[in-house]
Amino acid sequence: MKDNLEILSFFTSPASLVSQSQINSVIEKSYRIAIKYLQVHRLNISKLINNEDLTLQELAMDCIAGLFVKETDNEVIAIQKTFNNWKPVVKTEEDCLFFLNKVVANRVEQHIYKLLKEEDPFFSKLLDSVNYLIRINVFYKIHFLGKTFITETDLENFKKRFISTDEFEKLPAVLFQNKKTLLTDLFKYLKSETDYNPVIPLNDLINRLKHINFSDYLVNEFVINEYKKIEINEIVEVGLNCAMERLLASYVEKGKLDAVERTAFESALKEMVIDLSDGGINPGLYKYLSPHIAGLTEEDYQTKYHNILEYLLKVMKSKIADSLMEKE
Amino acid sequence: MKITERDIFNFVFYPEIVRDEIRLFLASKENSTDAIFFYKELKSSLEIPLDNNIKQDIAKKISTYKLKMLFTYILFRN
Repeated sequence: MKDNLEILSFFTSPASLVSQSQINSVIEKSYRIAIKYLQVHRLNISKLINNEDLTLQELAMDCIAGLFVKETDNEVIAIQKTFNNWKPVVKTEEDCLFFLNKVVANRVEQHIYKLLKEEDPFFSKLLDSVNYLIRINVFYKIHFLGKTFITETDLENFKKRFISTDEFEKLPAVLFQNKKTLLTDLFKYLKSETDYNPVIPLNDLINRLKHINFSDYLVNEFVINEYKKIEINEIVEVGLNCAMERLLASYVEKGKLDAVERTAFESALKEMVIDLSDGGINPGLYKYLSPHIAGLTEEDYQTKYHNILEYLLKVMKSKIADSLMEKE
Repeated sequence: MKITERDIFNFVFYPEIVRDEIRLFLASKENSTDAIFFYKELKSSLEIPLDNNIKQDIAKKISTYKLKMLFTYILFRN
């Protein structure tokens, strides 16, 4: 078993002496590690992988692919460069496996944040706002088991358990009401009322804020006290209306879609906007339209409707993003 | 006593290098700590060879991952 985990030579040998089997071994281990960390994030990524276009396995490969790209003009692979710059310096096999574990965990989390930001404009805005609160309160972020946690100090101590996503969901809503004291209230509660480590899971916090009261947590970086009231439903409604208008003007009035198809598209768009405000669109757009057009096969959908629906989704997301910018 | 993530990792992967005090503490928490459970599952998964279909998919996505020629021939022939 131990021999299987020996990977240090891949990182320390001259590039020309590294064998293909050494490279493959590190890639396979990275893939295995990525799969485990994606399972940690399963609740956040369920929308992303719950379709035929992207499986957990493919997502794991996407997460690690960038680590194994060859650097320009030489034979060094990107992760070998990361290894050379890593602090503390990696000296032993034990250090090396831990290094690989941490690098892959970070890549998985970065990749998920990137996808969530692309899929869900609200996630992106709230993330910016929470990061701002972290900065002005001089709190810290630590990474543990592939997740980012907010801490009061930069001292890591994992003696106590970290709060799970399920348990975080159960924290009293009143703790999330005061935007100025949000983080300190949460730290205080975790310390005095629970046996958990007083650390706040960043991603779970954003999801909780989104569902409690989106508007109160949109913070303007330069005018902290001037919070704008923006309701999530109000914003998605603007996006939906814009897509509906475009559907009418560009397709129905020009005779490209009939009345039945128009109703089907309207129903699909309404369902998409609900998903958009609740964690992101399912990339398998066929699923949104097929319940509303009897007997629609995936092949027919791809030929006749996919480009239209994809375009209308783009219009909707773009309008939502514009609305968020205007509200700042 | 301070416990770091590295301590938990070592406790699962390399218990022989963990300080006695920490090892005893973590052993007492073994069944109630998510992190120990996570790393145990990770360790087990690293022991299982990858399925050939997965290897083939990795080779398609990551150019530095190369299958042996004979192996590649068998995969693509099927």
